[in-house]
Amino acid sequence: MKGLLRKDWYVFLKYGKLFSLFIFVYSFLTFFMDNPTFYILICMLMSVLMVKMLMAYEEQEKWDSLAACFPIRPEQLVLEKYLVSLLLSGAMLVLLGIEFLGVAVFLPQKALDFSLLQMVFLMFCVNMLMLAVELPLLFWFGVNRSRIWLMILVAAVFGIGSAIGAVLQETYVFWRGSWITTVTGGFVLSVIALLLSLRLSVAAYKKREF
Amino acid sequence: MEERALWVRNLTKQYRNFRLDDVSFFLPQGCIMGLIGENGAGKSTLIKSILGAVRPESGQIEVLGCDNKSADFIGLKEQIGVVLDEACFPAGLTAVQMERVLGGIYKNWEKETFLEYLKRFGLLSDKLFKDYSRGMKMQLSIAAALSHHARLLVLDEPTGGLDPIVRDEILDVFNEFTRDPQCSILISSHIISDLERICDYIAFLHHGKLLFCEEKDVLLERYGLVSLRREDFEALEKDAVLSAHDTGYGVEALVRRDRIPAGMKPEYAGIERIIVALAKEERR
Repeated sequence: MKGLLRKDWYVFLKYGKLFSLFIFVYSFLTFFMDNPTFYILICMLMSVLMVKMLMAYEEQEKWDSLAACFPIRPEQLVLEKYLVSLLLSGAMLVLLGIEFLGVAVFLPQKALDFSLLQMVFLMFCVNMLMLAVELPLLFWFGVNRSRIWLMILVAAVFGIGSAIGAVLQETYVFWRGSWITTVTGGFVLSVIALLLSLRLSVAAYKKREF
Repeated sequence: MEERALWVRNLTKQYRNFRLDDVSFFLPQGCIMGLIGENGAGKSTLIKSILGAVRPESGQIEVLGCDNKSADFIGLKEQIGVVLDEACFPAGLTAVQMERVLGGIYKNWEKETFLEYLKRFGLLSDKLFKDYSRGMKMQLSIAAALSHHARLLVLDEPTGGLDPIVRDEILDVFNEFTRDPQCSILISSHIISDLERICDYIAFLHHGKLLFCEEKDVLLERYGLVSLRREDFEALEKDAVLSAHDTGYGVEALVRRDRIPAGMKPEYAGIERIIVALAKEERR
């Protein structure tokens, strides 16, 4: 596991610089935009893309074939990618937090909106949910073939979500919980989704041939 | 009973357009087995089945006494050095970084051994993997396979695309490896002269079937090359001749030594000629 994490770290250092710069700029912009949700979501999505990038390089270089010959259990090989994903998302969270503090310290004239931090946490949960959906597809189909399935799945989820939202709006059933309840609920939901996703990914990986 | 480094029994793997069909053989410990076959014969499928990277439909594979479907096989992979047909290391990493990565993967990893091989092969440790030539990439893979106390090397075309000098160096390394009677090698290659030089056993795969798996010396003793006048050639038993061609002055024939008249002295035929003749016979 340690070796795999190290490998991903080196590959990230080599190829992830542009991603990192992009994320830094976008995350900073978050604090100066009227509607920051989009920017936060983009930042979080970047971490999903970075994991995909790492796995794409593995496929291209056939590292995944070699990894199948390592004395490493399939569970560990899969878990490593979940850890990398969470580390990247966590790093994003920390970056946004630091920038939030930075803005508070260096730009005291700018009124800080604490709901922005709550939004960041919520987007972190959305990010984890996306990882929970994407990683089993990546392990099942590989990076190239999973793209089309992911698009279909995201379209279906958004379609169903919008339909349910519309129905709820019409029937005046709204979520009236506090932010803390929403974020906690989202966090618990995403952790459960990730755990289920991990099991699916392990099963998918074990079915793959290299 | 002799110890078996590798024992494959009735292995069958079905793909849409290809079938690895009922392959059985074993590799005694301390020996080198060369796996020969044309492109698409099933060499890589066989190797990946042995390593557990593909799942065969039927058959059993024991590696160093351990069933490769058992839970213990994961741990046993510590003792298997692998070189796949392409060097599969990340292009953007240096040899030093790969050393650190592999050091975190293999419990028995020996940094000093790896660095010694780098030095021996003349590989620059700070050069990116993508900037290595094909030969250097394979050398790095071989160095990695030899640096974690493996008892079995499974090598898929490790000498393909290498120049003769590098190949010679690598074959020496393989010979050194099997000086320890506990250590064995399964190596696939198109370069039959390489296999003839180092192998104790030759296994020949053809269209997914194992045509034979024999000791190299037995093959060389069984077949020989004779140059005959046409009338002498026609007097030979039909099943004594494996292949023949007209040289203009007579006939050069690959024959079974035990089926030719006493007094006829066949010359050394070489593994390549024997393999090609056997493959053609199978096609007929």
